[in-house]
Amino acid sequence: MTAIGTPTKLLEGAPKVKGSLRFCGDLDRPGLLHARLVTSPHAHAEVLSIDTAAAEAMPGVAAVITAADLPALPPSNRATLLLARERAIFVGHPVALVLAENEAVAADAADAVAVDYQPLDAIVTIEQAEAPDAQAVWPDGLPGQSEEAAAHGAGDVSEGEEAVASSPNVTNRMRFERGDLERGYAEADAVVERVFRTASVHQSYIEPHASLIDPDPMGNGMTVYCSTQAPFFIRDAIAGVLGMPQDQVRVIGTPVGGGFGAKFVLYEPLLALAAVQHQRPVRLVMTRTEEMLAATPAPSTRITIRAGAKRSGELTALEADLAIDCGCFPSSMTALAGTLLGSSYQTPNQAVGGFEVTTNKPSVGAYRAPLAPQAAFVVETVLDQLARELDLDPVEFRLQNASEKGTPMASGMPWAGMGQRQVLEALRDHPAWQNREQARAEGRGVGIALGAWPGGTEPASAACALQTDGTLKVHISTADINGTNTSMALMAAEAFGLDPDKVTIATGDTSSGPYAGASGGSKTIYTVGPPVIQAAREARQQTLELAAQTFEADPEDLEIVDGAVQVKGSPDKAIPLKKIAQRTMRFGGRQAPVFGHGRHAQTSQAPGFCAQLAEVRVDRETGRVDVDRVVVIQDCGRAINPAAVEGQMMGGALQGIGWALYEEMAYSEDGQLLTATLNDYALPHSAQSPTELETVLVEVPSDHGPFGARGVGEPPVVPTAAAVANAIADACGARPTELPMTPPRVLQALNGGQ
Amino acid sequence: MAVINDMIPDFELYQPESLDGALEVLDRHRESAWVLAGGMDTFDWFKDRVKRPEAVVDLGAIPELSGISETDGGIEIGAMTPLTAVVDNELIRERYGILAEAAETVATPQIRNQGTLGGNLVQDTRCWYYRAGWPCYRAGGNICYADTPESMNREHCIFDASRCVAVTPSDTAPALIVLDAEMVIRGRRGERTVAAEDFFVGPAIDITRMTVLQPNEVLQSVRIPDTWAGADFYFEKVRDRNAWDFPLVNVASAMRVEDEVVQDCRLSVGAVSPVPLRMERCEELLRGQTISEDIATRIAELGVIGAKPLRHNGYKVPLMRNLIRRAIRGQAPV
Repeated sequence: MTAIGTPTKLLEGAPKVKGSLRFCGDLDRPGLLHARLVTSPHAHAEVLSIDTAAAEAMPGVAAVITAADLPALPPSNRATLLLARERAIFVGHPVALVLAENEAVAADAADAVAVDYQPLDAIVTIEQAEAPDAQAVWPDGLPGQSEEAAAHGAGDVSEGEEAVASSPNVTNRMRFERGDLERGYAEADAVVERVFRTASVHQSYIEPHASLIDPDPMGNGMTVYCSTQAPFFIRDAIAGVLGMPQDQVRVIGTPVGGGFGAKFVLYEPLLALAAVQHQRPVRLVMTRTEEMLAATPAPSTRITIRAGAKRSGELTALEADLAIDCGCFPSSMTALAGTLLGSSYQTPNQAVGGFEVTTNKPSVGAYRAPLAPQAAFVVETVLDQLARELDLDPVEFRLQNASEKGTPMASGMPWAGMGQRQVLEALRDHPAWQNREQARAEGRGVGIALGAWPGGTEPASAACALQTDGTLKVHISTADINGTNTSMALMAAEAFGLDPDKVTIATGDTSSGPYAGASGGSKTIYTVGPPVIQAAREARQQTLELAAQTFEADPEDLEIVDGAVQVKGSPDKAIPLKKIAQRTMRFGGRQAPVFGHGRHAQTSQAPGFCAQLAEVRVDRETGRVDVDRVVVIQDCGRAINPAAVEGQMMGGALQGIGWALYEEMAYSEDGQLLTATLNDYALPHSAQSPTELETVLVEVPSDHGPFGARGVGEPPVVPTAAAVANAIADACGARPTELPMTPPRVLQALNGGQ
Repeated sequence: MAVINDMIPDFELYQPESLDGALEVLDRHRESAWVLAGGMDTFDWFKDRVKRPEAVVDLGAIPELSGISETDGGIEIGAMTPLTAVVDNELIRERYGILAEAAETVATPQIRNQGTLGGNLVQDTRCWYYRAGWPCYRAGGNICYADTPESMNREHCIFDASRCVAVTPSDTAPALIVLDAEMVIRGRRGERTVAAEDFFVGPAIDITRMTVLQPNEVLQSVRIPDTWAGADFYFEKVRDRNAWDFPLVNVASAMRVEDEVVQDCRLSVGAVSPVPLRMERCEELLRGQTISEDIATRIAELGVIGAKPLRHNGYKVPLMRNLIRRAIRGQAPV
């Protein structure tokens, strides 16, 4: 078979291109109510009163819901925050929910809801939040935490730390340490120390959050149509908030027009409460400005880093301290941050970690390799600077200190099998790197960087059934956010032994489908692939056994060729698969249907590494940066569908260019988002994509992945900003320490920080 | 202020077929009327529900406002002419290339197809506090949110700060100032013309407007004399992305050079002040000079004298200086 590794068009590609694919926002139901959020214009305010009378009196308004109409749950996360009760804690915090017969009326009514606020001081920056005497974002401790945790400033998990005066907003402090930093610095021939800042950025999926809650007319729960990466999360969250059995909440994932980590659970429980209260279907499609204000962007960070190396190229010490602005709820990402900062290179003496702060901003969410682009930006630019100061080849320097299978990550846990060395070697041998002097002679700077993503794990299940038309139906419940269904079909085809065109994917809902985790963490193929293969193999075995009864042969002597089972080498007496299936699905039939199942717990990570090279031109008089070329070199383990893998690599690098040069959620001193539209929030468009964008697939098979595959979605966004930063430094000698590297910042760096 | 709406509130829409008809409606509604050209500025305001006029007067159906024609000694461009038509016009490209070049840096092809020259000139400022609906001076309040010690003001002015520190966002304005263009304004009592450089007003004169246009007036056309036809032009716009974005700073220059000596010149800089600046002092010093790196640098240094950056826009000073230098001596070799 050759299904695996064949560039294959995506199953949903044609309907997407033709515009015939239906998204959640396209769905209608009889009696549908359109929901509109009324949101706080203040980053922090006491809600004195809400007057809904004028809005409710408007023709076409079904209801205006406020916190008074909702259960008083402890708001421990965004799903349970529901509507503001007494205090609004970020700009965009929903205060009321309008339900109306059409969208225009809903908008007018939302406008007519009069909320009386008493504005309060807001915590907006990391510096404000971490000050020992800072006002607490959660004065009574984080809701839902134990009393003891709450007493420790909303859940500071530090252990063995010296008792330092800590702000109530500082949470999840942690640090991985090994060796002796002082000795490491003493041994170093060069030490670089810098403070970096990265902006909060938005995932900016094309399709905004959308969900439609349809209460069962018999009062038996609800059906939820939702653009989500995580249908089972939605089910659990709604069931939890409404106090319903899981089975009463049937979540049907609709096609996802981009998620990048942000489409887990947001306002679905609130909408479910509204729909059940009013026993009518309710739909919310967020506007772009709502997305910017009231969703879950990626956090801004401040990272202090100090690293030392010997003239011989040996890294001797690395210390990194990261502060994450998590918005109004902690996000528990510091352990991951420590891993990302201190694992790609083997430094004998290191201390990496950080803490989170809560602020009066929307709580943050995941965004494609959360915290990895930030970590790579600082580590890779500091390595670049060390290499420059010590006159070392930047690729050899990285290779010399590279981690490998079995060497410890920052936490001390050993690395699983990975292709870090191989992607660096492929970069070293690539013509773009080999010929870098020519690029420099032509006025371009050349920069490289490495990105790592440890990869996710999770159990999953799947089933495969042979159909009476000779096709194989694969039952899974994964949200296909980037073409994974197509790859599942390729894997099932390969495992069963039939043409991929003859495989269909049936995506189940949370009531009918086999379990799969959220589509995130670059683990969909890695975790759901094995049960799909197992199910397809079992179905194949059952099929052969059924045919063997007809042939009166040993199943071992049979093969599947061109959609039919035959005795090996005897095509003249082949039985078509559809005939075999038909015998199992008919009145009075005597053979059991072919139904293979697969269940697997993927417990070991398959790290993904991506090395990138960027060539840029820097205009020294204006600070303008043009990216002429990006080469994306990635270890994908095994490319199940190389077309999809390359698409992920290109998309990741383009998003990385957004991180590097353009995107920033800029907040005013009062916590107002100043970039609340796509006019002010600068996404890269086609005109900002590099003139040359090349992908190089490296295949170092993972230990446990299907056909050796490993996750590919996240790694390609990780090193881009760092590679561009290093290319800027190579081009003009200036090194911006803040993302995005806009013309003003590059110009400032060129003028020595002025 | 976080306004979350994509739904435009109700208004009365007028689509007059003559300029007189439009003026009559405007005269009737005065301050509660809104002139709609291409809509590229307008619809943001409406969708954000920050501006809520009672009457919207769409100029799109008035034939006399559109088109480019050759006149005795120059050209006249109707205010409703799409920017794309300005970019593509042979006459403009040949004789007033700087205008085509400036128009082509506006936003994106789609926006240039829909957006008009008049709209690009009279559009409102992009101050992000003001656009978000905060009750600032310009919006009738009593504070400037962009000019406090803590404000975020990377895009604001370094010259002529008054109660408002927002800047002119137009890319075509500096080009038209350099070309010595004239703005033809129509009101019910007839026509008046204003030099391009006098068309724009700063907050010290009227904080609620960006131009001299009164509520019952319409910009009818732009007349460009042949004074600078075929001169040596330079235009450059620096922005965050090489599409979409408004200028961080833009610069336009026209020069007549003979035997390497500058006979005459005009220079204008946008996005550094509430109005596009004509750099007359630089022009005076440049006349009679032989262009050199040294002269360009010295004049550029003079050009930024008096700049008063705010907290986050200090970069505009070297950026403006470098752009003036380039406008004089052209791009430096890499």
